[in-house]
Amino acid sequence: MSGILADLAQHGFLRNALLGGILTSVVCGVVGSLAVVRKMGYVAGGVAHASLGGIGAALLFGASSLWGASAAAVAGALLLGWMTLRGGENEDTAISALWSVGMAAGVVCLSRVEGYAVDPSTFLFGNILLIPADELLAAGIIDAAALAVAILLYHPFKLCAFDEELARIQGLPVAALHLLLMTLLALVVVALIQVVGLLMVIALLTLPAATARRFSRSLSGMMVRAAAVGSACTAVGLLVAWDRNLPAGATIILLAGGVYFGAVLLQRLRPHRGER
Amino acid sequence: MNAIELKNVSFGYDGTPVLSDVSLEIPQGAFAGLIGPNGGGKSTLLKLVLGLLEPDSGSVELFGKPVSRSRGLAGYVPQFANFRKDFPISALDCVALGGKGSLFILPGERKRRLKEAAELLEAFDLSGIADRQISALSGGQLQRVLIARALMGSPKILLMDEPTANVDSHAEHCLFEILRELNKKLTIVLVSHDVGFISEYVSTVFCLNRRLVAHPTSAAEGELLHELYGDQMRRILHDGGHHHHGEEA
Repeated sequence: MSGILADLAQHGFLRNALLGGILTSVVCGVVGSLAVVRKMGYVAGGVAHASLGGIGAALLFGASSLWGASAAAVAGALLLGWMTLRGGENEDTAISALWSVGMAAGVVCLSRVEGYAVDPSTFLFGNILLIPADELLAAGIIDAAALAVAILLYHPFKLCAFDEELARIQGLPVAALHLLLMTLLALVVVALIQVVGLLMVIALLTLPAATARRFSRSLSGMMVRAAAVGSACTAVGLLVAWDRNLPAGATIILLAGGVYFGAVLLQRLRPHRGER
Repeated sequence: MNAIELKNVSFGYDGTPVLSDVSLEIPQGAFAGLIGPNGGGKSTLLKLVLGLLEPDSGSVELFGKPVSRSRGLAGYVPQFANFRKDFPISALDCVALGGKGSLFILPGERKRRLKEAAELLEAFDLSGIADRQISALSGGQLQRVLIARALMGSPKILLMDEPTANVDSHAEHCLFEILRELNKKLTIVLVSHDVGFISEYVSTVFCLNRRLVAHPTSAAEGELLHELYGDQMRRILHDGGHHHHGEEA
């Protein structure tokens, strides 16, 4: 324990990674709660995998992988959002298509990147400890912006998630709000890819929120608890991984999963203490 | 002035006509019922009045103004199935979501809305369940919560979709008492396929089956119902124990 504290004091990059991971978990708690109540977990999964296409294309053309991932994630999210709004196309099919086509595009692009071999596992499993400080800062700014928008528009987001028909009747711009939420989701996904990698984005987005849902009586309460659970899992997971030389993303997810299944079990054993 | 006025409204989904040349006037202060068979266009008409759909031709006005400029004048009580019942929200907070639409709600406004919602819950004798989760309410309680929500912001007309779909006969009776009280202050329109309930209570019945026929309650019987519903309806009238005479209500 004292070893970890000494490392934290000594290594700036470890502090930055911890700070970045916690900030991302906070945003993730807020946007993830909206995603969980709207049952949009798999949308996030599709968007995450689509971003690999953007990462591959960016590296192929010498651009930053963060911007490539952001562009592909936002484009994929808006495409899904637009398809859902128009109806017609089966959302499940659209997500599957985005999921695998994005992945395929990424693999093909990465295989063509010249000069040095790119290890896709960096993006698949993430490693926040290896991310350069400037990218971490950019992700932090994206996080902060997404958080600000989500808090500012909390009321209409909540109403649309709970009762979209009422939102329409009240004359709220439901379609625009939906696309905006999809954009926020995409940005959070990009930030999460750095922390846990794109394969495990769904887990960190939904597990803390689903855990919080079990103990919350309001959406705002759920968001606060999800942010707390996510931050705790990320911080502890990161430090344990550092200390024991484990992969950080996977350690964080194992913790978040353990907390979630623990909460489910706890409520099963003491049903009347759980709030319904 | 009319609360609702439709002039020669036609509407269809992908070329299949649902409403053909419907004209309708519901005067301010009325307690009206809109009945008709499933697929007869009731929900579509409701959506047109709420501004969720635009007519292919004709005009829809609420209190003399086009629907798009009269938001907030109509309170709407949906059937239960329309929202997420597993959403983490208390009865009080659910009521507070009603009223005028707004993108930003500042803390002062939020406080004012919660106060109005608490007063409405009290008026419906629901203060005891204000903190209860929506998912834990009974059918009758949930319906009264939704009526309270529709009354946020003091609308001038209350629209209810299938008010008897999810409540037992006792709750149904309570509901009518509430509505009769509310009707002293605002126009009420009930939309239902449940002819028995509607014609017992309301003062005017509109029968909709793509086209519209309007009648005072007493006439909404016999030949007309037969014309609208065919033999099936006559069987319900004979066997189902529904009565349509005012004095038995």
